[in-house]
Amino acid sequence: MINRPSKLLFCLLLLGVQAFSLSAKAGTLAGSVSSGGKPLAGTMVTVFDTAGKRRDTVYTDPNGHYSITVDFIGKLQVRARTPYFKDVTQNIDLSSDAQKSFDFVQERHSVAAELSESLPASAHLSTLPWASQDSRAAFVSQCNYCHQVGNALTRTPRDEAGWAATVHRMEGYFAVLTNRQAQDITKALYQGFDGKEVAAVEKYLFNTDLVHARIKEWVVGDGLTFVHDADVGFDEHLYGADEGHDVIWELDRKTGRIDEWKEPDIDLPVGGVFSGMQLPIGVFSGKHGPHSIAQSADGRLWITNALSSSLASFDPATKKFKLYELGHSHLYPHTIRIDKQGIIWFTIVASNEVARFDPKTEQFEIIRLPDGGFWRAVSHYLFPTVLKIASWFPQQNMPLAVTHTKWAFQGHDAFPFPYGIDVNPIDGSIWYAKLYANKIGRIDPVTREVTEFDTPLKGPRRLRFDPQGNLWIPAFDDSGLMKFDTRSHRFETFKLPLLAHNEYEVPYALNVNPKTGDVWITSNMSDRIFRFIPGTKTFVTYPLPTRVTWLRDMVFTKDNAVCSSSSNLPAYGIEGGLASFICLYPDGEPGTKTATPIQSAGAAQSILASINASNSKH
Amino acid sequence: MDLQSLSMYAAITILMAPLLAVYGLPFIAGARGFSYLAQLWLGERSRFVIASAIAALGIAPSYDVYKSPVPIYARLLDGAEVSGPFMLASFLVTWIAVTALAYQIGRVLARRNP
Repeated sequence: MINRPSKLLFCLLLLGVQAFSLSAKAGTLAGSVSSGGKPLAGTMVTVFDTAGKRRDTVYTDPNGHYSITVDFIGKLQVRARTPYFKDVTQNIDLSSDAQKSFDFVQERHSVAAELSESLPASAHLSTLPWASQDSRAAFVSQCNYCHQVGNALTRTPRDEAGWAATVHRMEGYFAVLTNRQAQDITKALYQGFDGKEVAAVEKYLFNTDLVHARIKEWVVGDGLTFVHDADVGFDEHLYGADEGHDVIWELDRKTGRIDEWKEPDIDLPVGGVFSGMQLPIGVFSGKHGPHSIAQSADGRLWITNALSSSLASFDPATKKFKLYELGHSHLYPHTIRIDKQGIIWFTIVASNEVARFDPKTEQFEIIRLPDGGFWRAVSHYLFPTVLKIASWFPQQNMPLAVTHTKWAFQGHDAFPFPYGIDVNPIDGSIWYAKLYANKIGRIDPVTREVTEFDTPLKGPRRLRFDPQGNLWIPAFDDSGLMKFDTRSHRFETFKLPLLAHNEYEVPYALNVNPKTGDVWITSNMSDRIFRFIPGTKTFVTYPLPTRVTWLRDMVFTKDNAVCSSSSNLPAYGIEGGLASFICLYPDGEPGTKTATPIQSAGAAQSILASINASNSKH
Repeated sequence: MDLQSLSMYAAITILMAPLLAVYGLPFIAGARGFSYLAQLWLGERSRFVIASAIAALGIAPSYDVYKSPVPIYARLLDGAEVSGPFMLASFLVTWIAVTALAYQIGRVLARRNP
């Protein structure tokens, strides 16, 4: 049992601290979470606002205590969520400056079906029966490309023809598969997602670092919104590129205000240069497909428009856009970064290029990367022509009829896909990752000489440099993290902490905190974020409160938050049905930080050990 | 089938013609062999038309779920079902196309090597 007098004292202390630091409209909730008289550590306590547009979350400490101060008041919902326990939700009325105490008692799941429903996508995926390792690898690479598989939306049982139609539709959205892989994936999904409960045993390791953390989510757009990437501006606002609606979303985290800025129209059909593909591609109902976003020193935001083969600038001061067209043979401008000289660099995935844009001269320079084999060269030379012909037959998916990815049995090996890109802070060189070719490459910024290196793990995706010039690379296909020393050309690899041995993660992006050196990595199949501490080579995992959280580029704010966009495709597959901006404050949010007493890390570990041991028995 | 779909299938088939020809190589070789052997007892025009038909048998396409053309014989060998009327129509169109193409090739070769 939690000691009642000490709990009361704890709450009073917390409320006192809170009252000192709150804004006028803030309210505070504090209390404890327990089950069977024992405190639950690491429980996510989330407060939802009245309109369902805001969600703030904290974790309970080893004693099951929590405290959360929110800047929204009125009729709110509070939910306690702990893995393996039933959610408990309560409605409360929180008035301005109110301080309430609220305790939760959670009950362990005892019904197999309910427990199964509560498990993340990674647990459900572990049940898929694979005919071959090749087909499984193709599934990991291609079917988790921009969304989870195995969540409530995607694990709905269907007949084999239904799954075949789904796989076919996904191929129209650029899942690149051979016919054999498509058939195997269809069969695995049909046989694996049969509606029976999953009996996974997952280990959620509690870390006392969670106690200080706070997560804030701001819901944005509608069920078809696809905020691909977010970046933080000099004004500390978050800007998100909505590939679904040709819109830039602007979030003022202080006020919670969200503004929508529409890109100018362009003389292209819906789908842009990809109008011959199955439309809408996912939920892309626009022509530009704004994808990646970065801010230059003059304050302008630069946006790659994937569908219209263009680059856009957006001035946050005047809210004006300007378009720079690349030419329709340069297919799918992708990740964008800006070097110290203000030069804009971005990858062009489907044509195996890196573009360099000088904002002063407004001129592009296209750097063609090594093809890496005959079939990849075929892709690069013929794909633009095929897409051009396909555009004569809108929405008919004609490229799938003629592609050598099928008739030459190449699958996604037919494309190298230069994807993530970053600038080496030491020498200004440009580094990129080739997602399908399993390579990273260096472009000399002066001579444009290109050098490539094979990666030890597969699926190098959105890489980033640390301040010392080490390159950190997420291995999407191999649930891993890679570190590349650009001086010695040596790799070091790390396995991400999985919830169970037969699960996997698809780390899409990472970023290195310039102050701490910690590497923040998306998990994406299990609704978590990882923090890797290079000094100790250890991971801290932060479970996230919203199911089906699929994160993209990660950015850091001045108030020490790591932020991203929750952009599972489609957004209506996310719990709650909408996309969001999400920020994790590992040390609490400045101004609302409370000193939660932690008795000892050892105590926390022993509590969690007992929970996990109990899970094993179940 | 509307005109746009018909044009798309035509465009796909033209783009994929080299691959269809590769698939049809055994039949094209058979057609050449027939043409050579039958010169003793058949006239040139008859041999030409029948050899074109043999080649067309190996090239005549059917279309999979992706609208990708694969010769009917290959799809039948793979265990797929192709409807009889479609097979007949595809064969006839291909026969005409192969005959016309072979005729044109013959004329060009004859002009180059009189």
